[in-house]
Amino acid sequence: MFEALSLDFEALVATDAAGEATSAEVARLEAHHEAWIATLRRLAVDTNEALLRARRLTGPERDQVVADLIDERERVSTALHRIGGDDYAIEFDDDVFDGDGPHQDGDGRHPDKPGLRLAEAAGDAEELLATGPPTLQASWAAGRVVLWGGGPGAAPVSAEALVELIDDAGAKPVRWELHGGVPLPGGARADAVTAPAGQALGWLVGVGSGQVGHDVGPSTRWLADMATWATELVAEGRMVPRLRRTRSRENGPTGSFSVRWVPALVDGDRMASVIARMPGAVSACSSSQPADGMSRAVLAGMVDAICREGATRLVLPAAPPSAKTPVDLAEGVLAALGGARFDAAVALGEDLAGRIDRWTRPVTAETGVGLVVRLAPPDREGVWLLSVLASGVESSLVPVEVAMVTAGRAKRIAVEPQLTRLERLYPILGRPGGQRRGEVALSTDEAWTLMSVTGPVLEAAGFDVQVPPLSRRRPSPALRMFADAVPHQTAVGAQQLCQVRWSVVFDDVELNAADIAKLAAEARPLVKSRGRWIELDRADLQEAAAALAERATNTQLSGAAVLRHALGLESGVMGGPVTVEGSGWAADLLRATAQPLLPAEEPAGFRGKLREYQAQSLGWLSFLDSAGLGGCLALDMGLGKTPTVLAHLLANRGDGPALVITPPAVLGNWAAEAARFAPALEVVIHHGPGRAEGEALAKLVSRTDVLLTTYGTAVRDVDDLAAIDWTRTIVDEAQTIKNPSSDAAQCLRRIPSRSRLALTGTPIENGLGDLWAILDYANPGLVGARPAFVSHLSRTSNGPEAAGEDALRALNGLLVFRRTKAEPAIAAELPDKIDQLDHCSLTQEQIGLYQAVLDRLLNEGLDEDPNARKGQILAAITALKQICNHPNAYLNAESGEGTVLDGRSGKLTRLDEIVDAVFAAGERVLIFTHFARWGEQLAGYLTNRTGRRVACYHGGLAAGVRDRLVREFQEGKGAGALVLSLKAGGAGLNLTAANHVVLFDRWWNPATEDQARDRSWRIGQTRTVVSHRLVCPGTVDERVEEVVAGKRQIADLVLPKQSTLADLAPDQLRAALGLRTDALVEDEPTGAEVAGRDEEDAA
Amino acid sequence: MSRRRRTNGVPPADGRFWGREDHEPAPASKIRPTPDPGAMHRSLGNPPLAVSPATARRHLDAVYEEAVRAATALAAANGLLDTEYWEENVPAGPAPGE
Repeated sequence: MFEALSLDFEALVATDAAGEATSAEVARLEAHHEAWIATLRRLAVDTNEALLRARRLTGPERDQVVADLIDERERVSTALHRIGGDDYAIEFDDDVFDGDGPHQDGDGRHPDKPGLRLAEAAGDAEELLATGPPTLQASWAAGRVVLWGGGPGAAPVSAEALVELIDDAGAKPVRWELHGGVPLPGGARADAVTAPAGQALGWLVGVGSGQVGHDVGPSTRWLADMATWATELVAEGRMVPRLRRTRSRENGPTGSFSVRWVPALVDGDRMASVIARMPGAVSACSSSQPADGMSRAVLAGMVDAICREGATRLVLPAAPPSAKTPVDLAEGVLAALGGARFDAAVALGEDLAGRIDRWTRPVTAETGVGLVVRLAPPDREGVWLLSVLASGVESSLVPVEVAMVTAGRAKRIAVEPQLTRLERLYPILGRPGGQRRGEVALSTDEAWTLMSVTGPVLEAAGFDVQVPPLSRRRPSPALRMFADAVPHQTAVGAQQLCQVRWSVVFDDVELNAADIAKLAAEARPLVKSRGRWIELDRADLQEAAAALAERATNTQLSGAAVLRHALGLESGVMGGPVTVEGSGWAADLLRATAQPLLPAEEPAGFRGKLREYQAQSLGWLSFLDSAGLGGCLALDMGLGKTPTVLAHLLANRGDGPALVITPPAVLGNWAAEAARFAPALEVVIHHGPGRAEGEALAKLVSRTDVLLTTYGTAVRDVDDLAAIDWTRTIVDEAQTIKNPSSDAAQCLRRIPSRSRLALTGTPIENGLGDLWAILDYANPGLVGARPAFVSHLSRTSNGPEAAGEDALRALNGLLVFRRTKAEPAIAAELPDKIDQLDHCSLTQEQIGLYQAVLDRLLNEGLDEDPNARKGQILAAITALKQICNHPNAYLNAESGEGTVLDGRSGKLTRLDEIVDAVFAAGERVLIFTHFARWGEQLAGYLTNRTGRRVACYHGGLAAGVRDRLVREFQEGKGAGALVLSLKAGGAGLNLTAANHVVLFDRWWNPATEDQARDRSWRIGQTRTVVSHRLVCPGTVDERVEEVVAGKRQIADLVLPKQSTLADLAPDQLRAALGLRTDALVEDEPTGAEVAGRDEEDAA
Repeated sequence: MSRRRRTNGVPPADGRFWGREDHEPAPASKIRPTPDPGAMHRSLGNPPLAVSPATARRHLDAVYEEAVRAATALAAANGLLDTEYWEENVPAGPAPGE
């Protein structure tokens, strides 16, 4: 049976040794275990003999042949060790080639086979080096990676510990198989596992790149480096095929052949380096292998494994059953490019193997000779000279033709095939007309092709390509204007005239119309930019030529026009921001804004410390003053616009009067903050029935630094205000004037002022038109017409929101100073929470109701019973607080009347402003009230007004519903609001999705309000929480505020003396709860209402 | 007498066997895949195979391309790809020498 099996069986044994046997084939081998081992031993001996013969060969391919045979021999011996264990281990002694002379018998060596020795049990173990814990080691064994654990001074690790080391190194995904063990110094044997190189490559490259296996041993790291090198070589296409007999001992006319891929153009220095540092542990499974041969075998094995892996994705043709003709053989080779074996006539196959070796020799022989392809920059005629130089022939580079004449024979022989290779890849080198071989003149087009396309290919083929640096980046053209102020003119500022000159810049290359025309006429328009050659796009050149032609007659512009060009607010070909250089108002202005904005220090007398961005804002306000410009200070809500402007007013105290126009809700806040931060400023509130008029107002202003008024009052008193020469006008909540045709916007423009400043946290609520209205108010006429402004600034943006952001970015630092809480630098400066007190007006309806409730309480008489009397008073306080919220909060509670909410409450108007700003920023807000029914009305009102569903969370809802409301609010994206009753929602909930809190009404206990705010400001909140407390000055609301602020006790409010409620006299009650007209903020039409009235009038 | 005969098949127990633990290899350089996988074999001229050169070239090109692709994937998976160079060096025109 053995004889009958022999031919097939031997092929099967060889297939298994190569790691390619299927499980069925392995089972067949297992069935003939003895024959398997015997065949392996015979193969080992035969391969060793072939190796002995190969070592005596000469010629450039000798190293590779020897490495191949060593590889084959190791494959067989490893298989023998794996199948038979230590009893059948074989050691090959390659020292027979070291010149030691013939070996003696009796040392275990095969009697007839020099260089081969059967292994014996390890004897006198040498002492291990005493350093280091065991680490993961790797050895190479005939195309397989063997892993084991050990280290100097440490016992080899057990199989279980090896699994841990493998796991730690990230090698677990590889399918490792048990290995017979690895012999170690000292005679120990390490448990080991093994896998074909192809399967372990991914992990090894991961180790080589440092992604995994940081603690592996030096042998594993060395193999990992080799895997990385092999990957690099194949990725660069540096490999060639070889044809080899797979079982060289066969003597028959037919043999088995396979194609193996070997590295080409291997860097000799790098190879020498890896050989020098190869740890002996790498060859622990084949200790006879010298480092030189082992290193080459490892690199070749890994290159072959990658190529085979790649070829598995191809469907290659089937090889002829047995190639007996040259054509059959060629087809067999092509079919086996993926590594498959095929049978062929031995003589024919070996002849072709030799011819393939000779074909690939120019890239496999390590001659040390290389070629340099050098392209010189163009001469004056635009001709680029290409020359080929030889390296490694003399101490410096020499022209290749010179090298072929002057070099020694060996070098000459090495140069010629390299030049031939180069000429095959770059046929232009063979073009007739060159003065000498290896030199050719290139056109600009050819030079660009060499620099951009051919150069990388030649590099991949192993040539050193030296070309002028190029950039593939397509430079974008941009218009540049050189402005020069017209001499001897009287106009200044935005009216100043300038002579202008136009050009187009591509990166740092400036081109005028003549330059562009010349480049456009060239086959390939190349320019040198920042030391690199770049190709200009023809369409860009055409556009640049058209843009310059269009502006050829546009040689004199006003400062405002120059500024509009710089901001991209002017039309034309290549519209967009224009770079402005030169001199004059606009150029100087733009140069100043290009510099980093320096923060300004707080002026003397300012009581407080400005944050960094506020100090920068202050610097920007000074810049506006010096440039004679108005602007828009667009700090986000809560970032402190008021103190910043107060610092600016204080710094410029004495320049002349400033007019500050605000919504009624923040008028009191302005006065309070002025008193707090800039007490030196003379501030007067111009509001209410007792305000000054005409001459009296002018006289008042003459001794005042700042006049505070509201939009409604300013509209009513516009004639008086317009008669005063204001140094500064400041409009707060400037979105009020976003409708430029509204009465408010028109009236405010009539008030003369040296500079105008608009304050808003939301400069763009509905579109760029809002921003235009604000800027056109601040600088009349400067930013051009509204349609042009909107269209130019939204030209390159993706959607309206992006257009707004882009516009603010474009204008930031010049006409706009924008900072948001979302900026990390700003957020870092902000406190976790900002508390803001908003003073709200009372409408006439609210005042009437308030008075009526108070009168009823006092006129109808208080109960004699102290407890009943106390109840009467507290009920009245509740009613008054409801009225301060909204008439409907009281009426609905009392009689169910009233349905329309809009325009009937100052607090509601302020809430609208806050919600608008919050929603414009895409953020979320919680609104607390302690009147649940009012909360429901408020939620319905906000739902209708904003178009977004706003729910009300209160104690009357089922627990499941409340949970759902909280979950929906928390999970919701973008703008949103939730109304909560203070009692039900004031504690326990987590509502960090909101970063704004509005306390619509006040509660006696500040802790209750803090708890409400803390629904948002708690763990999980990453943004600053802004809390608004709405208060109606001059009402019971303010009395509550004083209690909350700790300025008085509840007892003081109701009981001024040590008495009881029953002792309180009616006049005392009126004093405690009544309206204080001096503090009251009465309602007035807002800008929007004025605009609405205008529309009605027009209708 | 050779050293291996003395050690009787056991590897030498010196620093050369274990290598240096403290040896820090240079960081792996970024890999730049060739923009033209077949350039190497084309530079060598027609292979010595008894089939038409075009047929031989077609087969070789296919294997080179897949091998380069496999190596590139290996490099990319391990963060070794010089992506900047790769993006900039995809040939825009026909491969030279064709």
